Amino acid sequence: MRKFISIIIVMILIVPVLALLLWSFSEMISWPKLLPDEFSLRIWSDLIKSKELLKSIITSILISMGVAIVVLFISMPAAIALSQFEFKGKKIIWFLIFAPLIIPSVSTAIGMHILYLKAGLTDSMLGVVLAHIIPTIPYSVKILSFSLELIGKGMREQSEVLGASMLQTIVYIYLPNLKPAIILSSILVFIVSFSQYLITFLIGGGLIKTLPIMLFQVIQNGNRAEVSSYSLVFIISALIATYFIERILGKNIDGKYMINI
Amino acid sequence: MMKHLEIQEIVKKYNGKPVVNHVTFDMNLGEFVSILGKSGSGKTTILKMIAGTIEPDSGGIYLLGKEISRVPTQKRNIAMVFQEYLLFPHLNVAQNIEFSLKVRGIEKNERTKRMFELLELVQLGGMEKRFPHELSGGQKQRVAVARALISKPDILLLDEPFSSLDFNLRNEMCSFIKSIQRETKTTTIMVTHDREEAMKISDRIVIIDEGNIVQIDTPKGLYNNPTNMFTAEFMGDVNILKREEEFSYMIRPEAMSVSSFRKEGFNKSKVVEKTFLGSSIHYKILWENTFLNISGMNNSEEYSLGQEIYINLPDEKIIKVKHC
Ligand SMILES: Nc1ncnc2c1ncn2[C@@H]1O[C@H](COP(=O)(O)OP(=O)(O)OP(=O)(O)O)[C@@H](O)[C@H]1O
Ligand SMILES: [Mg+2]
Repeated sequence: MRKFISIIIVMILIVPVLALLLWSFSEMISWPKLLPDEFSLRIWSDLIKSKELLKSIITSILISMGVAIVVLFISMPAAIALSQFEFKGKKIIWFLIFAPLIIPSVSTAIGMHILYLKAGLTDSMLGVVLAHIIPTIPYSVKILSFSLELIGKGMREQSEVLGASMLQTIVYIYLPNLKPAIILSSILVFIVSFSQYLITFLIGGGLIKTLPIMLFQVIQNGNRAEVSSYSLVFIISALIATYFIERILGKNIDGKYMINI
Repeated sequence: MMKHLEIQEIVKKYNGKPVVNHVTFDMNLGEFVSILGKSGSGKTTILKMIAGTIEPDSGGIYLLGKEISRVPTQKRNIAMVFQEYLLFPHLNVAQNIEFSLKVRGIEKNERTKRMFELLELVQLGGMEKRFPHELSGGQKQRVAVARALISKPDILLLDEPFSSLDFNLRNEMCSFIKSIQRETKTTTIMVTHDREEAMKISDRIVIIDEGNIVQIDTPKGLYNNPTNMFTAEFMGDVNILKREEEFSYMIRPEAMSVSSFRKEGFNKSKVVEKTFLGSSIHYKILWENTFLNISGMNNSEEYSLGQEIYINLPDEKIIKVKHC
């Protein structure tokens, strides 16, 4: 039974990727056929040469890394406040943080667009990074505050009684104990940001070309082989980036490095 | 002489209900005071207000005459060992013990030197590289005490330090803490719900019930001269002799004299129950219409069930207490 389930899961996850791989090596596929009529390396050799694609990969990674960093710095204090302290209006703040998951992103994006126009943040990478905070912050705050609740208030009280300031408590106690949560939430934030299309499109005004923006253009062209190859590039760059996030954070958030005793 | 610590009329309410209600007591330098009360009586809340992790709604806390109840925890130099020890799981024993010196910016050599002194004091030499999950309950507790003492705190607060230890270890740790406290002359408050523990270790005991102080005295004073029913019953077995409207009269089991033959001033009674408790034997006897509990040492004369014995209730041993 367990074997059966594993096989099904593998099929669901792997088969579409295999199909993409197959299609990306085709010269032409005509709908509704599943298998290509003719194989070729043309699409891939074009892609490798494409400066535009390389640029969009770099743009995407820079933006999503930026979002992951900014969101971590915002959601850390937010999660500490929400999980460790009692104050009025806590429920409202929780609701506001989760609102982006409920409210359709079109409406927030349009609202943001007007706001950003006034602030002169449209068509810039910074604007896009800031705009990505909204759909990503619920995940980060939730994961961090959940972990903080597990750690409990005791650790903070103990650390303060021993003379540590709030900042020292964060650096010496919270960060090392939150390591898995920080890695998980950073990866999630990265991926959610990496796959944003609508918000990037509106705020970036088509000038900030991230991978999803490129992908949508390609989809509109309607060449299945091209779409497949772009999708694969998308998946691979996301995987590589997550791997590096995990490596970098895993190595550096550590009691040993932080406390240096 | 100036008191080392004075607690004046502190109040803490949760949801409008006072859990600490106008608590007032003071301590001399180097004194060991226990706060004794049932679960939920507000003991931890009092300690946390002294430590500074909770702010009182009203009242004052004075350290050497200086009001500190609004001073941030970090600036108080009052160390607290929490009910759950709360060793930092990602730091080893040495790092845990050194923590308070590290955050105060003491340099490494000095820290290490002090850490080894404390490690010796709590008899954990050689364990400095271990992590908390590699320690037994008693060892964790000693690390927590060492970590609290390393900054030479003005006041040491211990919240039920022995509650998660088994019986034998508890006794051992109890004497151990007492000896460390004497050696370091640290003014210490310990919270407990165990009467014997409190009696063994304390100079004075504060008895607390539902946030109110019931009585403060030395262990002997509380046992021999309780002013109210709560203290009398909390501190040990008592026999109630007479109840009046406002007061009751009672006597401790061992305060009565017993004889197997008739004597001047002794009253006739009968053994109706007998319990062997090792060093002592407890009897329940019927005297006139009252059942009384008495106890005798195992090496003194033993009475049998149903035997007629004679008891004497010395006037000076009869305690008059208020109902409350
Ligand atoms: N943050 C809080 N919010 C609401 N009520 C609280 C809070 N903290 C404590 N209480 C209540 O205050 C009362 C006293 O709690 P406290 O922890 O001081 O008791 P305690 O004497 O230490 O008990 P124990 O021996 O079980 O540790 C309890 O009834 C508890 O439920
Ligand atoms: Mg408690």
